[in-house]
Amino acid sequence: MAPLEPYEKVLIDTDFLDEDEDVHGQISCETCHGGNPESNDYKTAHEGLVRDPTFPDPSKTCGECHAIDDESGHPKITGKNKTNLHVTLAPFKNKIYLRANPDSCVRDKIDDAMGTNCSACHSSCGQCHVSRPTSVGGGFIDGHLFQKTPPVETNCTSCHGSRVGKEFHGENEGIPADVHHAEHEMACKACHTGDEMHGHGMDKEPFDRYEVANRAKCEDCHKMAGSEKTETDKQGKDLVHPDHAIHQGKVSCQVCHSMPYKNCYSCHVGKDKSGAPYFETAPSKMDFKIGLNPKVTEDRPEKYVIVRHVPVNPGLFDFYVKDALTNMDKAPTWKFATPHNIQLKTPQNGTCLACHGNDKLFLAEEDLEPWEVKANKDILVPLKPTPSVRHNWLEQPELHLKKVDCLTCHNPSLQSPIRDCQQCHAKDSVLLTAAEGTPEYSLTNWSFTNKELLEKGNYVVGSNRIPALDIIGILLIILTFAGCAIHGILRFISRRRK
Amino acid sequence: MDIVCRISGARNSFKLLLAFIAIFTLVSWNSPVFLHAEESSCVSCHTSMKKLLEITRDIEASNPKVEKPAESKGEG
Repeated sequence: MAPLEPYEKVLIDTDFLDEDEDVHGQISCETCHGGNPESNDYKTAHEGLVRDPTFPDPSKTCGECHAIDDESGHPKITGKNKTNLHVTLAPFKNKIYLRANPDSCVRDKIDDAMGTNCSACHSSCGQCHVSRPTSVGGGFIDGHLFQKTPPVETNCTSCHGSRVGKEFHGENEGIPADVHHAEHEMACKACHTGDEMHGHGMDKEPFDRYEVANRAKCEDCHKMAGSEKTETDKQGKDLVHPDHAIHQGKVSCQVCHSMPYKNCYSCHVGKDKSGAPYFETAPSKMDFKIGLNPKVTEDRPEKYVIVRHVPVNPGLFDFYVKDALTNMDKAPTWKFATPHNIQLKTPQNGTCLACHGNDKLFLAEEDLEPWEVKANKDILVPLKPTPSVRHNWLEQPELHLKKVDCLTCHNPSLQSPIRDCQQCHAKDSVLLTAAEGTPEYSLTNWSFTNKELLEKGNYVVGSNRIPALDIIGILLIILTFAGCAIHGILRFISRRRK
Repeated sequence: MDIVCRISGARNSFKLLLAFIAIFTLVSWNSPVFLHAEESSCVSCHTSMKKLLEITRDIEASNPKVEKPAESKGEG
């Protein structure tokens, strides 16, 4: 984002004053900003001036027109301001207070530290629709012309840039841009609608952003099997992917479709001699970790989710007060995450065994600092024996794992996986019938039916046979015997004649 | 005859010029900038790059020089 010169930040475009361009330009400046419009001296003209009249309470400015939905009568935009997390930054405080020392003196100093270093990151009506957020230097987006949709670069990723912005735009080395951006040119608002951005409008303030009722969800577009509307292919046929049928409700979408993402460590905040806040963090790390869902809800029932390391640490507020965060065990330092670098094919979803048995994908105690172990104990994934050990009841476990498609036995349409050898190794093998949810093989076609099987490297009964070749071979044998017989008969007849 | 034509041509041009000035003045006085400028010093100043440059330089010069602030390290 290109920086602005001081004069550029406050230069009003004359188009703003044209009613046809922006109706807000018809409201006199002092109605919203105060100050003294009669004075020609900038110092007295700015006395009593309010830089952002929409923060913290926009009810007397934007709220005059944008408080209530005219049709439904429900709170709309500024009517939802009190629970708008962009304004309140409630999750910041909620998460810090969970870990904070209960001593009131210490809490006061934490509040002071947060007021100096954390609270400046809020937004407001004006800091989305008129200017860049104050926390990134401010300045009009476009000469004070109101922007119905805040621009991504100046207003979304100027705050959400280090992680979400870089992930979404493919700015992390070796990690491609999110498929929604790269292939479909979707911007933030395609998923994060104005309704969500303006708050959820409920009486109770959400604890964190995942409690926001109207937040963006993958399922808003990608309907799952069993829901009212399933996703369809180009021919209108329902897409019931076997992997989705197996994992739905157990694994979050990001577990399979997210790429490695940024994790932050060891933030320390302070202020310099002039009182200006600063922070220091340890180098971030690109990593990918699956953890247990720390908060299973009806809305988010999955057992396995992606977790991202947050930069909190016991010494975060040491500059202001020692022992500020004495309850670090109260909340995990690896938190539920939804990285914005979604891909259809990812390293962990190429094959079943790319994930199952791949221990390094799962959050384990060895990924934690000693002081973090207790805080994260509920989200550590208990490691299971390797797939070959878990399948050692088979005669040749390695051969089966290598050659047999996992879905052959772990068929989503079956109540439980196949464990009876006779079900496969028999004349009426289950492998000869394509069950619901499995790829549609055909072993009786005249065409080269084994092509798909051989390409997948799977081992199934009859996969090395081609019915057409069988018949040709039998015909050759019959013809050979017939030829010999005819030859013998002819020789017998010719001898008798002599 | 030639002189008469030239004089009437000059008069027509003069009339056209007067009409243009009249229309320009009318449009200008009704433009949003002039309308707001009449009412507010905010508009006259904040729509003028020159005035803002002067004021921002003035503010910068009058502000006490501070030491180089501590820089943040890492990603926020």
